[in-house]
Amino acid sequence: MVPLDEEAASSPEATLPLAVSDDHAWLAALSTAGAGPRAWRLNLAAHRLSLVHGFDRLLSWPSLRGVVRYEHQERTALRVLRDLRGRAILADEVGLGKTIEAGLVLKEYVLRGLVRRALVLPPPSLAVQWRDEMQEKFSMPFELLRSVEDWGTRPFLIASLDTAKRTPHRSAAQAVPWDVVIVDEAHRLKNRASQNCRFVAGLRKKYMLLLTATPVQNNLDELFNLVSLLKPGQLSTYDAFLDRYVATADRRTPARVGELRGRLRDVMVRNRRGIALALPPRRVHAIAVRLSPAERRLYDDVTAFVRDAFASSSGRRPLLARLTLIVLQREIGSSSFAAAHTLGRMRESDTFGLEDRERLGVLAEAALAVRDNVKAAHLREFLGATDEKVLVFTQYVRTLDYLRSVIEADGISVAAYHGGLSRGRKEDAVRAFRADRQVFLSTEAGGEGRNLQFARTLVNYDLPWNPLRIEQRIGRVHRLGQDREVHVVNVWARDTIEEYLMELLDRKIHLFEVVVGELDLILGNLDDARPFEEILMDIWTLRQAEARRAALDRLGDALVAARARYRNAADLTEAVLDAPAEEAAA
Amino acid sequence: MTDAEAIRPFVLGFLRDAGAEFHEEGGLVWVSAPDGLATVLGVETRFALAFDPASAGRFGAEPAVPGSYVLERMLSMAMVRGRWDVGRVAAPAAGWARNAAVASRSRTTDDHGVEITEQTERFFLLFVFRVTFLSDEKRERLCGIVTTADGKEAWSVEPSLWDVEASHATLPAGLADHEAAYDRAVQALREVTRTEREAFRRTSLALLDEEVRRVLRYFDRTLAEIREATPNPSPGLLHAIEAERDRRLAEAVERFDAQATATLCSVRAMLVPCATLRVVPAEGGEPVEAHIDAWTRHVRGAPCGCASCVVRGGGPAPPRGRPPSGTPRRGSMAARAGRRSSRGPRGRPRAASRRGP
Repeated sequence: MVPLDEEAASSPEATLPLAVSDDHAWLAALSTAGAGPRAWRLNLAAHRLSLVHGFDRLLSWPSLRGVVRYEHQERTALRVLRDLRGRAILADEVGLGKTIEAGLVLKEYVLRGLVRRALVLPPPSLAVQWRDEMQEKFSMPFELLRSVEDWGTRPFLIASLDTAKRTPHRSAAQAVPWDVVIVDEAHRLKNRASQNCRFVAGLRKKYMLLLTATPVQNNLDELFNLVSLLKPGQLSTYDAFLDRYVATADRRTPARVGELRGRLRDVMVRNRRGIALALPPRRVHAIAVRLSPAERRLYDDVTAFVRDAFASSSGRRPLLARLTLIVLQREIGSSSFAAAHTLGRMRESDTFGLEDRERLGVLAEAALAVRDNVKAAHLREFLGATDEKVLVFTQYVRTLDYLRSVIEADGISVAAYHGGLSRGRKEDAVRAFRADRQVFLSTEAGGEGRNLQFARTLVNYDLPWNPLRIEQRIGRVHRLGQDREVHVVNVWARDTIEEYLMELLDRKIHLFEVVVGELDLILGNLDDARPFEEILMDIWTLRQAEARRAALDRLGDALVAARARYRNAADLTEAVLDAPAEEAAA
Repeated sequence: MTDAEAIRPFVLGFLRDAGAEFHEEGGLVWVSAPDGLATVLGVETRFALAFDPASAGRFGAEPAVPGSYVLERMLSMAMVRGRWDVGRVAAPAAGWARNAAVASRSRTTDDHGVEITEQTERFFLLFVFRVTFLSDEKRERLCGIVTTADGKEAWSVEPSLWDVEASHATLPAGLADHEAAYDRAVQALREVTRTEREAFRRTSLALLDEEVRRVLRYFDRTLAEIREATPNPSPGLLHAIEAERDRRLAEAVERFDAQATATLCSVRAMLVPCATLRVVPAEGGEPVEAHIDAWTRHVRGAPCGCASCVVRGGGPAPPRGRPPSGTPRRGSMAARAGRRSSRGPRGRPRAASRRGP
């Protein structure tokens, strides 16, 4: 559009100038005959349909996939759009859908043409999940940051804050005029002197959403910093804030709570679970099995190979070889069928030496010789004893194929779902499960974003080493909308790495009981910044059993401490933001 | 944007106009589209459409909902086509001119003093503009301006009149001066939207003013507190704070930068029954000649007092109060922010930082 002229320039009386597009060219081309009244009416209708009337209502609902409409999310999105003008802290309690609320706000801006460039800064562990949710549920083409060039070329970008704040990304990110910046787990910005906070403050942005369930983690300084990042001056200056709103020297007790909360309402939306959004209880069941002698031998031999290869290769063998070893160890924990294929491939690979390849050949033969898995027998027994619809999760398609054959042989109907299916076939599988299949047999990709709350029992046939993946599985059924008690059944073999995993996740951080969404907050409090799988593998590949035990205990203690830190933060946030005013000030 | 009820007739009308065949079955619309249409829409020649989001994906049905790809493509295509139409408004019942003239006069309720001197047909041009108000929010509306074929007179018309039924007509070549009419329509559009633009500007300025006051108060006080607490604060720290303040101010100015734009959506030439009237003013005096048309019922040339006659062809502009300005008033916070953000972090005199709460 080329401005024809601007009133301000031509008339001293002009108010906000009206820039009118130069339409002389197409006017000159008008013929004496028209395109016809029908086309003209369609033109008018198209313009009417595409008009934007402020934020009178949410336009995006019909175009969302797999998003259940919750009143609190709709109310939050409208409040952010209308009253907070796109700058807000979304501080819902865990599990109420902050990501959905942020997605709604973003989609509304996109539909109105107000956002063309968006940046999401999640923790590294949630980057892929953000991309998947934005793509699958909101049809927004977010991409993960791959190189520094992406800053200038990708209009919808997801980058971990840890990466974005570093050179050379920092300056590239800050050079881009973002329409909206979304920071997930925004309590990472609690320290205003930190690189995190300075980086986000330095971004050019029109709208900004900060997502955190715990805006107050250790003391009220953090709340001040978050609010000031979003809206400087909202809580006055730091000294004035301390004078007016902080009651104690440790800065954990607020003063003038009613007034403080009043000021926070101008920048923060916090929904609490309450009775209406309460989740039903979750029951955890363990099926701990003893492997058959052949399986035991295979498991021990594969583990010995992995330990030997890891110990000898540390720092020298290519990353690919290390990753392959991790995959192999995970697969043997799933089924002999999953491991057999990888063993066969490794036997043919140049990555491993001749001696290793000979060992791998023997292991591959041994894996193929195992025809039945004890875990599967226990699963069949469990399925045979229930009339419920059951979700069975495994990480591997080969395990899925095996399970499907044995379950169907028992006369139980199965809907299989995995990443290799087309979108239509996936929809068909979900529909079939909803209609008349008893078992939804699914790989990791199973049911992401799909509503499967009509079932309430899920089986972890194997355990991903990334605890967030386990949490996501549980989230398929234990989420808003579920009104019945949920049963989580974990199948695992004794004396395996899965037993370690169960000990850490179940007994130390109560993974199977925490609300979906809390796990990342707990793990975020771990001092060890490495991915959890890596920590676990490093322990598992220690050669001495005593050393393994000691390392495991240390990790367990660290997890307990991390959980305690998270609980403290949640309690403090609740005391400041939610508790009755007189109680908070006491 | 609007609901599914409004989308449905548009989509079906679009398909019909584009030569597609379709039928509805099982909650979906099954379409056989010509090759060209299918290519433009990015679909197969046979495809299904779903107006209900829950049905999208069934049999590969494309959703036709706000924001969906297929609907957006249809809207774009429709907006490019059909920008020009010629029609003829049917002659209304006898006596229409007298009745319309009487109805448009605020001070008389009978036809005393109204005499029809001529009845004929004339071409008018309807220009439909899309007017957009943009700052950190967006508001849009369509605005219709009718001009005489020679572009000498223009007035606004209600949306309900834009797409009235009209029979086929042809505009003789050279009869209408499109460019003069367009320029007159733009002039009228500016008048019609003036109040609205002023209101939008005031709202944006108020928001900017509030933001700027808060930012200045925060950073200036913070600097003062630092100086109070530390007799010789680090210049680097002070400069960093000032730089952050100026960056925030620049961000605020960008965010609340109000803009009003207009684009021409379509033009409709209408052959309309018209009448010339001789009107004796109700309060007495010399009779005046006026013109009225059977389409917009707008009276031109007579002091009718009609509220819709915002635009008077060739007449004097209505008096206004204080001339509004497109820029913030001198001394306002918004004006300060605008000056400072362009000057950079060190462009502000130190003394100006001292500010009360």
